[in-house]
Amino acid sequence: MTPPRFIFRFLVFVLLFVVVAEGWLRWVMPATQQPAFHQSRATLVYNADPQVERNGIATEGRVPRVLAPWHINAAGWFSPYDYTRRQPGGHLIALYGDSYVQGLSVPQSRHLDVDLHHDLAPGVPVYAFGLSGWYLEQYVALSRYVRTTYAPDLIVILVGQGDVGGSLRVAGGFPYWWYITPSGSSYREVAPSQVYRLGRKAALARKSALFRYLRYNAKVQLPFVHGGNVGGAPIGGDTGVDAPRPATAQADAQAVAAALPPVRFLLARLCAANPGVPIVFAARGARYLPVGAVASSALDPEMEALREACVGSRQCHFLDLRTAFSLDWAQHHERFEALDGAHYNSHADAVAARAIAAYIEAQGLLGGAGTP
Amino acid sequence: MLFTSYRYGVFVLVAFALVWLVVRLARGPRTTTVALLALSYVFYALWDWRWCALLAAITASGFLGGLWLGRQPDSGRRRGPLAVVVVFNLAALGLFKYFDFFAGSFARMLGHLGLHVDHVTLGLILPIGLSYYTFQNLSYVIDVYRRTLPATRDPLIYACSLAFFPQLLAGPITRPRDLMPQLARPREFDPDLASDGLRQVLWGLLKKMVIADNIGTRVDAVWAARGHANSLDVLCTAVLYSVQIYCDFSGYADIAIGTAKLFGLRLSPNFDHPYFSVGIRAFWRRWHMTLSSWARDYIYISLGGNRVSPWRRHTNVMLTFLAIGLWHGANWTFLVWGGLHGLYNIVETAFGRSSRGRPVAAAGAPAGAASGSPGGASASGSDPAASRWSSLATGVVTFAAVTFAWVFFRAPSLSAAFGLLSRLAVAPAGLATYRPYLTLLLASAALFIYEWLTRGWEHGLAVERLALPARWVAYLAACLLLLLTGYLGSRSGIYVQF
Repeated sequence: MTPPRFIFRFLVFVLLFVVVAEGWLRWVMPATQQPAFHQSRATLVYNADPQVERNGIATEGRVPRVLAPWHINAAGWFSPYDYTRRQPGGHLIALYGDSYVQGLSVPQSRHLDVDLHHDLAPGVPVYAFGLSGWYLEQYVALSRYVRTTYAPDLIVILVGQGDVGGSLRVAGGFPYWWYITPSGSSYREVAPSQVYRLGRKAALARKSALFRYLRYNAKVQLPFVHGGNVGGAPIGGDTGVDAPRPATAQADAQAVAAALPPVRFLLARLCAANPGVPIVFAARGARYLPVGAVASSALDPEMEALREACVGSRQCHFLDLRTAFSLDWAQHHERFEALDGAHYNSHADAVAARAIAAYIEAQGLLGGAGTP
Repeated sequence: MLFTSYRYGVFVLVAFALVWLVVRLARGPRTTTVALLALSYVFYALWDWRWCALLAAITASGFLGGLWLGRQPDSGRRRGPLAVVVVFNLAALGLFKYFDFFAGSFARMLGHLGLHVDHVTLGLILPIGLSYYTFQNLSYVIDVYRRTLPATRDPLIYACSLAFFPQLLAGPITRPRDLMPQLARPREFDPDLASDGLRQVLWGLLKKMVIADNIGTRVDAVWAARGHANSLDVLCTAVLYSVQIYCDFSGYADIAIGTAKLFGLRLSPNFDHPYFSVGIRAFWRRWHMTLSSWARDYIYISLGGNRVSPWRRHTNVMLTFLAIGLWHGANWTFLVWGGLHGLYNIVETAFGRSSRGRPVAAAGAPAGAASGSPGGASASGSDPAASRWSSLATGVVTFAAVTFAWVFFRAPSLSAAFGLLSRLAVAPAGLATYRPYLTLLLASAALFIYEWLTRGWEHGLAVERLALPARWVAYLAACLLLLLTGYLGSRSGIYVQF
């Protein structure tokens, strides 16, 4: 055998392996499926493209395990329902969030928005607008579109670590999303610098189970794809299980103070974009604190800044979800992580939904309260 | 360019095509050697081009020193040139690897005596592979000094024997006397050897990426949070690190040896199932064989070897193992690790237990009885009188002793090592949270069972006797295993840093 023949045989083997791996990751251990994304030129809303794919299966891990099937509604959102404008005299809740609201780890019939819908009597529609990697500024920008399209009378935002930091423009940020950037003594909004279109290479790549496996299950930054992101939003957001933090650390106090200016700017714009609409920030955090330890344990500095910014506001409310989680953990001892070890499972979604529903009812937020 | 990166694969593929094209177009082996040398320097330059000058200087010192030594008729006159070359090489090693350590340690020692001195640290980055090619260079010069090897007059072949890229990062420390004759021969493509090389590369990748790197993330996590570890954490971590370092280093060696086979060259084997050793001296005949045989031939024998009084011999053994420890790096932890192995050897010799490991028969390995280890006892093969249970018990004790020593090897400092060992007194909270260990321990056990079953093979994927379809199924299964369970991040080899 000559060296060229040897190389040829080696390449034949490589090709055979690619075919076998493709089949294996398609039928035996399916690689995760991601919807195709698109962006409206008119509204600049970035979400799933229902024209390309409406259904798929999310899997997790190197040896892929099925998390849940997903469905994209007609408007391009991860939801079992199609969305319509709020009826006159009726109620409608818009739920914003990142991967926790997108909820790929949980069957859609047990998503946070579905649970919240069932928990609120008598059946208030809850529309979920969530995407992995989103942050506060994205919610501000999206809320303008949601307000004109669906006219919600209550906004719930599931927030967590990184939601403020992510809003600040940094070099190399995802060019299709909204940011804020320091401007003089305040900040200004930065619109997307590009409009996302699914390219030919990306469209082809997302059809390959091997590619999807490497990119999303194995989380490999593929060298031949710029930014490593083909046909999908960045994998990001707060995915860690937060650890309890001491309440009065000096460093935390400084971090809270540093986070306050952008938080106040974002809140002011969110309120201005949704006049008269109450906004509830439901903050994630440590899930297994002993009952009674929540008060003495601080949230992430960004969330503490958000809590502080909400004090005294009639429109903005802050709900610390840790209390509900610590009570539930003490009572049932049932864990809150999905198979990926980080995101909420259906039990956690149910706990969070109950806490949010109870808060809304206790505050009378659907009864006309919450004018600025 | 790590061996586990796709860049290395691309580099090897390009190098393979270029070298065999040159073989086809050129008339003699010299042009091929030039091509290999150029590719090796390009490979080294991809890490940091400035280090190429150091590699060239070390190579020049060995080559010119060899010529100088070759011209000296008697041993008395050869000592001068030898001293010049040895001092130059050790100075380079000392400057880059040990200066900061010794300067800092000396200043601290004076500090303890109440004398405060401002010491200078150079903050030099250790050039990758320096320890390996320096030792190859020294072995050549000493061989020429001892007249066991004639001085070469071909600088290209000599330079290539030191710089040949697969062995540059983490060995094996293939001596020029083994590699130069291969480089001087006309090259002919051997498809069987090349196929076996690919199989060995795949086997090395499996050990490195599936076992070592996955264990490594767990072990690193326990070491990082050692203040919270309990006895089960410590025991599992210690055992897993033993597996990790074996799979990491032997995996790298397999990739290097396999790559060399693609170019028609055979590097010295570096491992021979070391954890199946019965006795510590047998372990050292099977672990990092190229370093242990180097230390035996050029340190232990130079100190007098076995032809001295028992106490002097023990001292020589201890000094040799301390030198092996220090070779790994400038840290007291490596000295303690080397000292422990020296102590194990002395105790084993003193208690008269002859090691019963299999004699190492592979090419380039320690050859023959008295040269088996720095301890120098004979490797007599399996002792039929010894019972299987006795061998098993001795094997387990050997593994435990080696594992204990690895704790110091892995520790960032002596206090960290003792800190982790002190956690042995802390009882585990429960068994429910130890599933990660269980998976890794089971995977390790599966590997060792497989290695035991295939212990007569040159490497774990030496399946050339199988029919072609069966072979390809085995390769596909191995590749699929690599894809689904291999660590795909960038994790350097442990021995690359030495």
